[in-house]
Amino acid sequence: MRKKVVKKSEVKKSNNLKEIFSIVLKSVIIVSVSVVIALCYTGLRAVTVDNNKNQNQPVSISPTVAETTQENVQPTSTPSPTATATKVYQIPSQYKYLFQPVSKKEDIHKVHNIEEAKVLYESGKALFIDARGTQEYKQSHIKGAIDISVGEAPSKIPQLKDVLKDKVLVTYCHGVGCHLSDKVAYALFDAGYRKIAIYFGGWPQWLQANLPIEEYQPPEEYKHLFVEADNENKIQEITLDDAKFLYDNMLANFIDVDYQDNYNKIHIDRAVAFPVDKVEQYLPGYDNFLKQKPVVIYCHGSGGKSRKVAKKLYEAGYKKILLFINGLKQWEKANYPIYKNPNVR
Amino acid sequence: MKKILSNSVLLNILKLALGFVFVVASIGKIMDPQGFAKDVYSYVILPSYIVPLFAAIIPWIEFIAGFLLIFDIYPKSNALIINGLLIVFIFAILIDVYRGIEISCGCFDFIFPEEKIGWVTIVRDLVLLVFGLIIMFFDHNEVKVYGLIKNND
Repeated sequence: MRKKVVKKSEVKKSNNLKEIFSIVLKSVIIVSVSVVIALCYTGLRAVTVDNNKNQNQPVSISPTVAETTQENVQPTSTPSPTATATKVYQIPSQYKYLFQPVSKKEDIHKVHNIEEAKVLYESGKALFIDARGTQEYKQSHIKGAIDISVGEAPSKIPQLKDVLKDKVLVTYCHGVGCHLSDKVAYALFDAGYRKIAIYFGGWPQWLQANLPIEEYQPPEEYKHLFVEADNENKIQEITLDDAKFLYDNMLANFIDVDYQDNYNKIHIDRAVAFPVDKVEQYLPGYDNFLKQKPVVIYCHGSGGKSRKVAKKLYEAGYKKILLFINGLKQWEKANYPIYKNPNVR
Repeated sequence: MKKILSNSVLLNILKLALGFVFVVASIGKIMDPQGFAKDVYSYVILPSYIVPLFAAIIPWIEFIAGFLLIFDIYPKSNALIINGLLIVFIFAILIDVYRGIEISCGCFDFIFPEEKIGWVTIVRDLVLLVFGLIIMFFDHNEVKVYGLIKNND
C-alpha cells in the first residue's frame, strides 16, 4: 500500500515536472518567435535610433533655412540643447500639462510666463517656431528655433515633417498683442499636430529674461556697420556697396531725411520719411524702429541734412547710425530700387 | 480558494484583461520603436548598445503573448512570459523611483504618452502580476480558444 502511494506521488511529481517543462518550453518558443518577428520588423529601425542618438540631433534647422542662415547665424550663448536633451531632464510636475497633446484647437496650451517657456526650452522636447517672419528670424531668434511665418505655414509645415515630429511645438512672435503665433499654431493643429503651445510672452519676454538666442553675425568685411558710433563726430559714412549689402539683406532701416515733398517725389524704395525739419516730432513714434536695426541716413543733397539728423539721433541715444552721403544720387546711378512718383515730374 | 481561482469565468476575464492591456501597451511601442527606445534610455539601467535591441524585441513579445492570451492559446506559457516581463518592469521602475529619477514611463505610449513612473505604476504592475500569477497557476495550457477548439485527450 505504502509503496504504491509513494509511487503514485512520484508519478504525479514527474507529471508535474513534465507539465512545467512543457509550459516553459512553449513560452521559450513563443518568445523566440516574437524575437524573430521583432528583428525582422523593427530590428533595423531601432538600430538606426541608436545612430541618431550619437549624432547630435536637437538643433535641426530645415534644409532650406539652414542654407540661408548657417553661414550667417552663429550661436551667441553657451548652454546647448544637446546637453540638456541627453541628460535626463526632470519636468517639474506643475508644468507637465504643457507636454500633453490637446484634442481641441481651443485647448492649445497658452504659455504666458517665462518659467513655462524655460521649462519647455530646457526639456529638450520642445521645438520653438518663430512666426515673426523670415527677415526677423534671420536677424535673431530663440536658440534652436525654426522659421515658419503665417504665410509660409501651409507650404512649409509638410516639408518640415521630420523636424516637427514628436516635438512639443511652441510658436511665438512679438509677444502680447501679436497673433501671428496663434495662426501658425492653428495651422500646425490643422496639419495634424497635437502637442502645441503658443508662447504669448514671445520674443520680447525671452530677450528680457536673457535666455539663449541665436543672432545674425555679419560677414567680417561688414562687421563695422553694426557697431555704435563713438561720438557724434565719428558717425560712420558708408559706401554704396555697404548700403546695398544692408539693403539687400534688410539689415538696416533706411531713412530719407529730406523734406517731405522731396520724399514724396523720389526715394530709395522701402526707405521711410524722416524729414529733417520734423525730427523732434518724429522721434517718439519711431523709437522702436530706430532701435531695431542700424539706421542708414541719406538725403537728396550732398549730406548736410543727413549730418544734422544724425547728430540729433545720436544725442537722442540712437548710436547705431550710418551716414550714406550722396546716397540717393549714387543709388539712382547704380540703378538700384527706387520709388518715383509717377504723377510728379 | 482554489475553487474560486480556477473558476473559468474569472480566468477568462483575467486572460482577456491582461491580454488586452499588453496588446494595447505594445502597439504604440511597435509603431514608434524610436520613442520607446528613448524611454528605455531614460531609465539609465541598460547599457546603451543593448537599448535598441531591447526596444525592438520587448514590444513584440508583449504583443504576441498578449494576443495569444486573449485568444486562450497556451495561457500558462503566455502568463509566464508576461509575468517575467512584469517583474523586469517592476524592478526597473523601482530602481528609478528609488534613485528619484522622474521619467516617462514608456508603458502606454499609445494612450498616455507622458505618463511618469511612480508608485502608481508599480502598484498597477503588481496588480497585473497577480492576474498573471492566477492564470499561470490555475489555468490550462492548451489551445482551447474558450472551448471553441475541442481537444481530443
